[in-house]
Amino acid sequence: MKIILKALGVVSMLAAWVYAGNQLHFFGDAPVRVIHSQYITDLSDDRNLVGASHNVFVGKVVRHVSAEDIWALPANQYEVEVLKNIKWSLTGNVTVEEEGGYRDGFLYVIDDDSAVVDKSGKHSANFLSDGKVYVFATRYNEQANRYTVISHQKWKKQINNLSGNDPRINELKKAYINESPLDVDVKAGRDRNSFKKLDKNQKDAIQAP
Amino acid sequence: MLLAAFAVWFSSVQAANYVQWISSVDAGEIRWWGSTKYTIPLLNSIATWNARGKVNIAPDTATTLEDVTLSDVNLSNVIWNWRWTYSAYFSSPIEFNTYYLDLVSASRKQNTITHEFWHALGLAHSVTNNIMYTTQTSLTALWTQDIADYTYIYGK
Repeated sequence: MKIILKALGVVSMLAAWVYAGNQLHFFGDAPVRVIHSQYITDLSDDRNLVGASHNVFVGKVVRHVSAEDIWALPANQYEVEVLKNIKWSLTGNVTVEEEGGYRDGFLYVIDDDSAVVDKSGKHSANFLSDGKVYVFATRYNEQANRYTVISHQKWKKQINNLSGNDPRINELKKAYINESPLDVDVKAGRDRNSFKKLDKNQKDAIQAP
Repeated sequence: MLLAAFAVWFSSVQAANYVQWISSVDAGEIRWWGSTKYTIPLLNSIATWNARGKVNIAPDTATTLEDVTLSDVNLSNVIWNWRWTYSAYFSSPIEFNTYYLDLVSASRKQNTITHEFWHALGLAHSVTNNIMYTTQTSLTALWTQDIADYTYIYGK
């Protein structure tokens, strides 16, 4: 009996060690898995940021609607009310999705975006919140008719000025006029809503003060 | 007091080197499984890392456990050309986004794959003109910060 108990004790300790060792750190009760990636363009330049986007707009998160994966990794979808367009013209409510979320007891965060790292190096989540207003930069998910937030902190900025006079909005409007679309989008015919494709009236409207 | 001293030392080390303290290295090697259409840049990238001589990157076999699993995806609605999701005791998936990689040059493909294995080796994004800069470039050779960070973790 003693041998069985000792064996059970050792197995339990090993199981706990394996589980604990699989985690880098914890957010609340959930262990965190950080997703690392490399971007196709330099997102520190707004012209590249806007050029890589299909839509840029100000929107208010109405509610969280679902948690469907984007290719085998967690993501979350939200109903968003479009308040103001910067790149192209969306109207009404649309479905915006962002990569990252919970699955099987783990919190998945995107390094550089949904992960916020404190001074000790601990990651925590920075997902969209119901009722808050953001400037969104998105790419269109053709299969699901959704707008996928570009996974970089610079592309999802919460704003508090509902009148739309946040300086970030003007910065992005200027960048749209001088945007640099992705070469792969242009070659594939997916440079949606690019400034070059607008007619004269549309361009004038955007360039008007 | 010892703890404070350690924290100060740790912070200074982090500032000088770009490391992430997690990797797919297991007993001095990374065993990869799965497949990708980018075979030539993959093999070239592996050769770059294996030339450093400290970590062996090799295909998985019947007697080894894979550390990373390679696959291709085609997603036009994301902005990344690959992603690596860390897991300490299970195989970490590495996915290459063919929507972007199909149309870039061979050197950019190799830059991407070399960069990705660099993360799997435990290094973080660093500065411009290095493989580990956050954005894809056409660099295929390791540069000063890349080598400094690798040496910091694995020695000379």
